[in-house]
Amino acid sequence: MRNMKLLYFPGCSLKNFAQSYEKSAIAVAKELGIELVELNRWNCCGVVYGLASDSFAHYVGAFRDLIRAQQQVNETGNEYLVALCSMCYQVLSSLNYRLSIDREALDRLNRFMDDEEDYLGTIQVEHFLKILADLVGFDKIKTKVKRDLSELKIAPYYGCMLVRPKEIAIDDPEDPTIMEKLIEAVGAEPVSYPFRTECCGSYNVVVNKDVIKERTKKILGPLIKKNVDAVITVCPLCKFNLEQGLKLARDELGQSNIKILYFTELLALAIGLDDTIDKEALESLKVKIKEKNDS
Amino acid sequence: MRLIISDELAKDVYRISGQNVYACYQCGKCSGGCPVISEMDYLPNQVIHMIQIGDETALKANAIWLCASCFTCTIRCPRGVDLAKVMEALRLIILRKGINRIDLRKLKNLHEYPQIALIAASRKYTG
Repeated sequence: MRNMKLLYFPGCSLKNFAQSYEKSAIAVAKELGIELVELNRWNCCGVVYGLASDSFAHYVGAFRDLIRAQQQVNETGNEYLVALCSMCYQVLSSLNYRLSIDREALDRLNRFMDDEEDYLGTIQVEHFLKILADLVGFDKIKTKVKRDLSELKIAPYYGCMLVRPKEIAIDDPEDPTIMEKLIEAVGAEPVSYPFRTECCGSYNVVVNKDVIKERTKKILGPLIKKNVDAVITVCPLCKFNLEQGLKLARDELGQSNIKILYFTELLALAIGLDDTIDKEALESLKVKIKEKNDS
Repeated sequence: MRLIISDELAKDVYRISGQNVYACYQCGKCSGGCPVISEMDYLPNQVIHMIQIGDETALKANAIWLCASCFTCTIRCPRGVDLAKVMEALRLIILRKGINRIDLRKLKNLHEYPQIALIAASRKYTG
């Protein structure tokens, strides 16, 4: 693959509490010959996709983002709009999917947005992980790895939004393997466990922390027993909830040094882009990795 | 309380979600895979059954608010009922009456939560 540009949708989290996700992704992409071009004048995607078929109000934010993407594709020369946050990915791709099969919805939203150009439905919403797997290829990622990560036991945590529902899933909804392949590509050991595609409790954290605590116990419990070093995630809310849950369930789960990382931080660690990784996680994992000799 | 079997609730759910709850034959697979049933008063398949017979207890079940649309039931239902959409329809029946699940002004320690959680909660719990 030659160098390419991809239009990129950050969303609110990556500009605030999830900055290491954005930083590491942009740096890793650059190493792999991809320039992530931030979407101009993007707005909130809406976070949760409206599931009512009789209402369109919930789609307006995401719809405007798709129009913005359409206005900017001449800068990249392709129709991709890449998301990192898996909630942004789900909202944008679910809407895009509905518009592709529901002409009436497309017409209604275009009429509603009468001060904007019509959206033609041609944008292709994709997640960065899928770009890495399909456009870059894990073989290319292997060639960029500068460190020996073989001592690291890493568990992939998919959560919900990348693998469900089927229409927008980037991998098998029941048995995804894309993150395991990524972990293998950087030379670490992927850990298998039962709850990698189960919900973290999502926005329940705002009203009912018990849900988050119980979910975390179930998801991370087996990993702590196996002395897993880190969990890689695709979603800022999953990361927030698992970290909250670790604090809430400290008594039940016992002492653990398990770290929750974005998958892009693991890549950055393997490639040696240390300044893009969360400092605490970096310090914790660095003791187990070795520099490779290029001889 | 006397329960009169009615299809009014099922019709409301259908109008909002496009989902036909009468397709459900109560296999329970949705409840078997639901990650938050430990907190629920009624299980997802029980909620569906209530809609089938017109029992408005479905609208009082905490299950409909605990459901965070993870779509596990949706992908597993052998009858193709999109339960995430059914749950959303039940929430909307309440929210569209102007009855919010939470009062956003009363949420404490807002700075502790990421925007992503607050916006999602405001979208799911308020109309």
